[in-house]
Amino acid sequence: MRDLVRTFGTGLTTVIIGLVALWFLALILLPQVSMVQRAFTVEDRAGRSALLAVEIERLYVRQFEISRERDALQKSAEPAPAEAPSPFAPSMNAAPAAPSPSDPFAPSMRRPGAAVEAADPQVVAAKLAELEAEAAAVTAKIAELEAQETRSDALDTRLSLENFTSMSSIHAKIFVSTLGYALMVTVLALIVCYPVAYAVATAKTAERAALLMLLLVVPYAINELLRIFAWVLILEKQGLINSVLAMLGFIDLSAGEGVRFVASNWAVFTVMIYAYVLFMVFPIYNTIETLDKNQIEAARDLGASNWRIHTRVVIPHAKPGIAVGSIMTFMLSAGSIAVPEIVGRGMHPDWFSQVIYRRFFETNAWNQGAAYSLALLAACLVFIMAVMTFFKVGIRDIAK
Amino acid sequence: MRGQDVRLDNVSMVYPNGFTAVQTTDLTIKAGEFFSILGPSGCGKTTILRMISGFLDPTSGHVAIGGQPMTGIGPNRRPTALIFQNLALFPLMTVWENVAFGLEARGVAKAARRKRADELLALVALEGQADKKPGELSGGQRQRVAVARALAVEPAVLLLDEPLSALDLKLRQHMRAELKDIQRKTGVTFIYITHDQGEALTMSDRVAVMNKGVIEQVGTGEAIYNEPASPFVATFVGEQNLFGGTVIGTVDGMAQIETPQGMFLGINRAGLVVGERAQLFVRPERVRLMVNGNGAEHGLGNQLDAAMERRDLEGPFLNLFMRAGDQPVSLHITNTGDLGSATAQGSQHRIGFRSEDAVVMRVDA
Repeated sequence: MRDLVRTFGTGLTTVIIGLVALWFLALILLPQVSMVQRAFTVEDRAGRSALLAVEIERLYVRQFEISRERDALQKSAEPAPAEAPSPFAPSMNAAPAAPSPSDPFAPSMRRPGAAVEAADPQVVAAKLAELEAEAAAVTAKIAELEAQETRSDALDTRLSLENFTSMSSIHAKIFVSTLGYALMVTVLALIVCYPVAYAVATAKTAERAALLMLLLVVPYAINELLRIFAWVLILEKQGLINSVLAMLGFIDLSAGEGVRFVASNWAVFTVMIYAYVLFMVFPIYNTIETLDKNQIEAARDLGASNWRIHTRVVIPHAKPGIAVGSIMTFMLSAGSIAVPEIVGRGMHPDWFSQVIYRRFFETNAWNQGAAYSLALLAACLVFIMAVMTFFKVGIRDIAK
Repeated sequence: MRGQDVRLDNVSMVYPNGFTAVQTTDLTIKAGEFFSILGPSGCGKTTILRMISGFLDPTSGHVAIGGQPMTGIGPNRRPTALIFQNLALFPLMTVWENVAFGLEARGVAKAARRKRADELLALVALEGQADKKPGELSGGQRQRVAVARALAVEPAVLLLDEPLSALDLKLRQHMRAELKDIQRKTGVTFIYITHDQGEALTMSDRVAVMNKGVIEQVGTGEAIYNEPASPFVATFVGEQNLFGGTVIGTVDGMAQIETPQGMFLGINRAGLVVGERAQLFVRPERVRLMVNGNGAEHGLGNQLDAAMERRDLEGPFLNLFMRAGDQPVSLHITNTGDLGSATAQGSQHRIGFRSEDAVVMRVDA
């Protein structure tokens, strides 16, 4: 703190500390607190408030029917068209369900009974009065119920673990398999990236290292979604791979041959590895870079095979980098939505990130969405701790 | 463990960027020999070492170890072991795992590895340190771990790349004796790279002096020091006084040259002829101060007058910096304790040296 003031002066220090505090509060603390709070709160939409909504809906429908019957009666009694004011108050609950008055199918809904009774004006008048009375009662009831609905205590809100415990078995299965998929992506990415990182770190000349690094970084100049779509172009049934195979005469595309690579977990894995390659390569590269290359030569001079050089000398040294890369790749792939959504389109089952997305934006169950997110976060953290313990890597090693 | 001989036949090394690190060289290192390659940094000595160890393939010629040509054989399959300048111990392994790494690579069982590692650690006087990490050891101890690790694979040839350069002076002198001792005990051929002439001269059976990719002289330490074959060897190994002049006469392997400081006689091993430009080298400890009497009594064939400029006390001996005209001359004389007044600054002296201690050499073009 004092160092900051000495370096930047009071004014700039205040700005810096203010920005850091803002960042921490607004982008870390508040969203997390909000998510945790939501996750443990149940808003029981399936309970009383839902029943209310159904009741209101039903009343609106009845109100509409009354107005139709009244119109029909009036039309049969006197040829002059009666003025029929719309009985509809604009309402979210009723509007989608009821057909509008200008609906071309409306005449077919006219009840045959109404036409028969139209002859007798006495009966019509009595019937109209009856309808008017019912309409008034219905309108009053709607107003009453809507007032109830907007009262806050109608929403059955309480602290509970229900959001977690009510996870369906399919969702639970998706949850577990998504962790498995993320682990798979991490392991595959490690297998792909370790040799790359090693090659860059031990490149003979600085130029070659720079070139390799450039090749790795260049794809990241393109928007992530475009990169993913590019893979769809490659993996689709009419895509690049099948076209090349067709061109070489292995398959006949016009006969419907060829594999549809997309919409499989392997396609999702491939694209994810590609998408997160740098997150794995960079940390490993950084640690291998710091390895004294003489150790590699010394091991070789002592007769060690390449395999032994890597397992005994390079990998133990690069372990913190491997841990950091694996953690990042694991977290990113467990939480990725774009890749399974775009590449895995039409694939079943989904990834858990897609389930969470639908909880939030399709099912409108924000609280359960928050609970699912929290569960995923917790599972990832536990998983990371377990892996770090297993590989005997501490936080301090990683910080190095 | 038995040492094997190393032969370099017409070996040269040109790097891809065109730099010639080693010019065509023939060299034979005998089995069981302590052989040093001495030269300034960048002279190509490490390149030679890396060609013997197999990390570099010579551009031309071939290396043979124990009579077996080594072309196409990688460092992991050669009967050599290399000790790196920075030792390159494995910091994450314990000392004994370091020592046993070569055995591990050969598939030796763990118990046998441990036993062998303990034996080797005893050889280098590191009993009881087996379970420490290299980082917990002192510089000299780490040095010995590196030696033990290299010896564990029972190499026929041990290659040492300036392994003592990181140590302080005391430790360095101690380790010289230890290395020499280990070499004698094991009988392994040691090839020792250094830019430190003291190391080369004290430890080696034979020394090769290298400059700019060329081995200028191979011989015992005494031969290198007393009978340098080239001006470079003469000046690189030890200190020299140098007098420039022209040959005016040759007789019985001696040459007489005329210099601004006078006429001097020296050994003419290079076969100079009358009229050639020549340099005469004489070591500071061979030049004597003639306090009384004349030089002839001492058998000093070459004499000149010089004035005392500065005097440095080294302890057991004195460094005298004198000047004969504009020619600086330095002398190392034993500190007998009675030279105080005689060597006062500005005092004039007659100094001299034996013809047998002076070497006449051709001036390089």
